Amino acid sequence: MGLTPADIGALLEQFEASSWQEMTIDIGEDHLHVSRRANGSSAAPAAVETSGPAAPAPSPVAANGEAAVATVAPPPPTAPEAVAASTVAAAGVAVEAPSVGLFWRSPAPGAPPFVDVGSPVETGDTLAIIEVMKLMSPLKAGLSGVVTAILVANGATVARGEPLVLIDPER
Amino acid sequence: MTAAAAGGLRRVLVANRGEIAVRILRACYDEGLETVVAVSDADRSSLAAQLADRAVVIGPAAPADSYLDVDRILAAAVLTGCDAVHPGYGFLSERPELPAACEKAGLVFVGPSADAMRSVGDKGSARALARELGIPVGAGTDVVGTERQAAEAAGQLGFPILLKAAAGGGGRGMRRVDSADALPAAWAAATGEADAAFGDGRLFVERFVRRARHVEVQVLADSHGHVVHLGERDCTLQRRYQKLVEEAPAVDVPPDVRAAMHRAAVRLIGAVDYSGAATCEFLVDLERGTFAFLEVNARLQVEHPVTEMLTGVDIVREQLRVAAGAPLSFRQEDIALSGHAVEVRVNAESPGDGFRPSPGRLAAWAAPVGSDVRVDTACYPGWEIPPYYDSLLAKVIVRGAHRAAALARMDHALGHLVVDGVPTTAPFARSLLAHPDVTAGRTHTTWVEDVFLPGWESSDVR
Repeated sequence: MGLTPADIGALLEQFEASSWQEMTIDIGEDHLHVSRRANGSSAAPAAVETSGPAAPAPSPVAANGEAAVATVAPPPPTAPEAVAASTVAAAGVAVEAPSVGLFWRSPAPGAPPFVDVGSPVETGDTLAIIEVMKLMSPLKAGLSGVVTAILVANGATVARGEPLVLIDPER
Repeated sequence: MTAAAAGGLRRVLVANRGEIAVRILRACYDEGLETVVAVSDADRSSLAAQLADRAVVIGPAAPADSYLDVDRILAAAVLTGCDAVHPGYGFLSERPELPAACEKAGLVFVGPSADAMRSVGDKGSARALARELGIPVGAGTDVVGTERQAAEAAGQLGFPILLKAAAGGGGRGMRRVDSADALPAAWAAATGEADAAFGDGRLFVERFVRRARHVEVQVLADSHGHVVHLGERDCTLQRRYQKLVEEAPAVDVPPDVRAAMHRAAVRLIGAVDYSGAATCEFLVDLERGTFAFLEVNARLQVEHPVTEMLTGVDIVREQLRVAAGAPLSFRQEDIALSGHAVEVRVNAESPGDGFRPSPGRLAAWAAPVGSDVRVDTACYPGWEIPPYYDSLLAKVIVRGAHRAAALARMDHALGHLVVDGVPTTAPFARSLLAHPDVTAGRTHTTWVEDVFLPGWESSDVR
């Protein structure tokens, strides 16, 4: 069945009413991308591109058993934060994730980060927050020195034992 | 109680996850309604996604970009042809923006109107309303915006104080502060947590009552002017304001105090144009034998099955009926509060390691069954429990003719819970419920931390 003209009309209406800049829809093999910026111009009207097979795509409604999954997801408003510093050049001792979780560089959204590359730190200073199942735990520096690299992006999912921050004790 | 009457509705979007999404799906099916569940990328293989007629991925794992995004919830509901949205608890359930947006989009919100939610859900205005109605209110402030304002309030109230999130419950964004020195760190932690959980970092300040029981009254109201209560729940057994065990009726609270709380709750909800489920929370001061109104939760509560087990009323089905414009299926005089019900929350946490949350793969899962035993869960063997959301795995609820019978049944049920792959709080809950202070009902809201945990942590049985 895939996307019908009526579906696309409804989608565009929803997009118009929203504050989103872009919208990407994937249903089966159909792909719909809508952006308020045509070729980077924010003043331009919404640009719509669709792609997909002319033949009917699988219906997103499952008859029974495992539910089919459709995606309604605008891309994040900003590109993921670039990983700070070069991990090749940086030297230091890695502070590792004590558990699986989310890596947060600041105490609250919008607040300045706990540390940046070049920040001097003392043993016990908070470097970041690891969030596991809504519980926020500080990631503490196990040694004194200078931060030489932050190895993962803000908000990234980290694995237990994953190196997160490098601290050079010699500096 | 009666046949399905949510007939004005056809298809419901469940805007939540975990066990409550499954619970709501079941009520929808009982009411003959089709279901769509909105899931994050991390919940594609959740039990709710498998049980719903249809699942829609609304965004990435981070709640701010999925379960907390009103636009995405609305888009999912509209695009899948739903005519109603059930918010569950947590996430957007107490945010007036959601009912407001639903109304604008021509969708039925399963809950109170945005106005009703604001007038009782905002802690400041709820307290003012309670005061107007002559309901006793605990000492505290309206919403405070800054740490300095909180310090001023604490100066007037006297330490210890409680910082609480203005926007939500569940112990998120809540901190006890014993001195002015501890305030800055507690303020930052509480406001950060509240912002992460509810998208709203505002806090208010309350005087901390020592030796109190936490008692809450379940209320249901419809759009035909009926407001009824389903008795109270006792949620005194908590750790860091996270409820561990809930039971009904309240333990060691005199019948006249219980009845006075029931009346206060019905008066409060009846004073606003409210429809749906609401819970009025009170603190019972054990030393003085008095009670004080704390707040209204304008939504379904995690522990609602305790009341369902005691009364036989299906609260979620009633929510759906009321949302469709039908009257409640029962009246106050139909409600009998007899017997005793207990609920234990089984969390993926390691009690022996400071209750460290423990996401991971559930290698084995088999829930206890039996008469008067109910398990609400989203678990299945092989499920990868994601690290992004709360640690609640299951709620085990039992009923007995009296409290001792219910506690014995709970011990039995927890003993027959099969779980492997992640540590859980189930063994901890069994030791907790076996403690003589618990069986005798001699506990208060900080008893677990003050009395039980120190002894338990040094014992070998854990």
